[in-house]
Amino acid sequence: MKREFVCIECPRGCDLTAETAQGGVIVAGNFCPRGKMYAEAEMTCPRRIVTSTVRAAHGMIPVKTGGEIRKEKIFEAMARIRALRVDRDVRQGEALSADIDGEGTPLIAAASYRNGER
Amino acid sequence: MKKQLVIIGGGPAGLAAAVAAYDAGVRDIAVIEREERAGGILKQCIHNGFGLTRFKESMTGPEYAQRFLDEVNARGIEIMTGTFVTGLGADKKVTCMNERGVFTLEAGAVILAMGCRERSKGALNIAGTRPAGLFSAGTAQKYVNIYGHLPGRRVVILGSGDIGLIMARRMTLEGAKVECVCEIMEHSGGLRRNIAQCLDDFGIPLYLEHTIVEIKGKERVESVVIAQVDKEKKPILGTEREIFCDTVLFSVGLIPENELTKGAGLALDPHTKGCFVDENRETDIPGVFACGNVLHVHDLVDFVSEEAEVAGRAAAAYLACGERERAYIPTEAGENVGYVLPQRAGKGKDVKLYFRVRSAFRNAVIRVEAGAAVKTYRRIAVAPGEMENVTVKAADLADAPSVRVSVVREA
Repeated sequence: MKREFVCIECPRGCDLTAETAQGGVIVAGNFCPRGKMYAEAEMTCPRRIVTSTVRAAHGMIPVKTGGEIRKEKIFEAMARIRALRVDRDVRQGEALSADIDGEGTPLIAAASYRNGER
Repeated sequence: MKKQLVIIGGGPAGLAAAVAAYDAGVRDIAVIEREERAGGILKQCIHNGFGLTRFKESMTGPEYAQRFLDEVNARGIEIMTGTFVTGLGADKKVTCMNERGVFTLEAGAVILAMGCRERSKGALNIAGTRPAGLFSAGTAQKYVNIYGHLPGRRVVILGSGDIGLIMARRMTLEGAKVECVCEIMEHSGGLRRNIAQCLDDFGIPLYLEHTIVEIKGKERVESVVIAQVDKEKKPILGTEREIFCDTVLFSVGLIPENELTKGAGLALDPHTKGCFVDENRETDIPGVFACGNVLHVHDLVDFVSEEAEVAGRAAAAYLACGERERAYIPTEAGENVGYVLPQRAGKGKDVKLYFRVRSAFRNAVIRVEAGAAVKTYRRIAVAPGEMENVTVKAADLADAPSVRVSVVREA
């Protein structure tokens, strides 16, 4: 199977071609090693960082998954993120959930939050 | 009240400029921010991908902003939040207003870092009614990410700028159905990877050379009529299609916010929509500098920070040494180039030229002509949405009457 896609690793956006060959993936068009890894993952198990917000008592806290999650788990993770509620102080980098994708990826606060202060 | 350095705007440009000026020796600095918190638009840009160029890591907007806020706070630099600048004089008097009243800061130097605003739907002349459900993409982003309100359930996005693409994904993740993104040009103005990760990932169609010709609905948007456009960007009769939706987002460009700049009597470059600057980002008024999106709309915040640091250091040098007589050579946009910044470069040192191409193509050659010296640089691909830069050596500038940047296809 041969596929073409735009690399999302950085703003350069390389045009990648990837082809499955015996036992591996042949990647072309990548400027750097990250592009090769991205293309290989796209062919086998595409993964994404998901960013969203968590509802707190006095505003929204921006969050990100603490690593890439499997693409087909994105909406499952979103449902969990939407169900979360925060009513306490939060520090940037703190985990708001230990497992947001059902596979052990934590959900990380991308900003500090002071409860009671907008 | 006297202030050595007044920085107007506490977004990424203002914060980076403040840190750079402080580190270059300026201690009496005030950053004026109209919102309750500094950080600018990054506060609502919760997606990741910031900082790859500068920090070699992918950060969210709030994280990128916090990195600079921490630097500002560590130096004890004053940020006046909730304070609006109502006027700037050519004499560097900055009139401010906040809950304590109106006051004037007499600045030794000023850095303009007001950022940009979104072009509004009103600028587009779309026929139809004026129902609820029409938002600029950035306004929708604020509703969702800051206030936690989803502005609609069925969405059509006009314009494929980055904010529109980011919002297509964001609304989808929050449960809305994004019907399509219409782009009047033959290429998207957004980053290529954003088309991949924000549209392709979710099967959202991008219709190039399409626009909205009519918005229908009385109280709330009920549908839009889209149509293909011809080479003159006029809708082609017979290609109209009605798409049902309750929300339309407009991501149709950003315009530097230069009301204060104009008030100070500074002329604006019709191409960048910002003022004219030299390589130090000093404007036509000595001691007044500009950086970030108020100067020209950047694609990456990393470049905003870099530019702001140039302005910050230059402001410090101005405060230490005062005005200096300098020899400049003008920069020019050649074939396929929309603008070159800075518009003039001081002789005697290397200068980094930033520019945008007019159209997208692959295997491009950047040609920099400085008098007899011609240098070429290859690029795999160039696109209007992506800012390019090259550094020109001082030696090549020495006797040149001007520097001209053009971009051509590889022969």
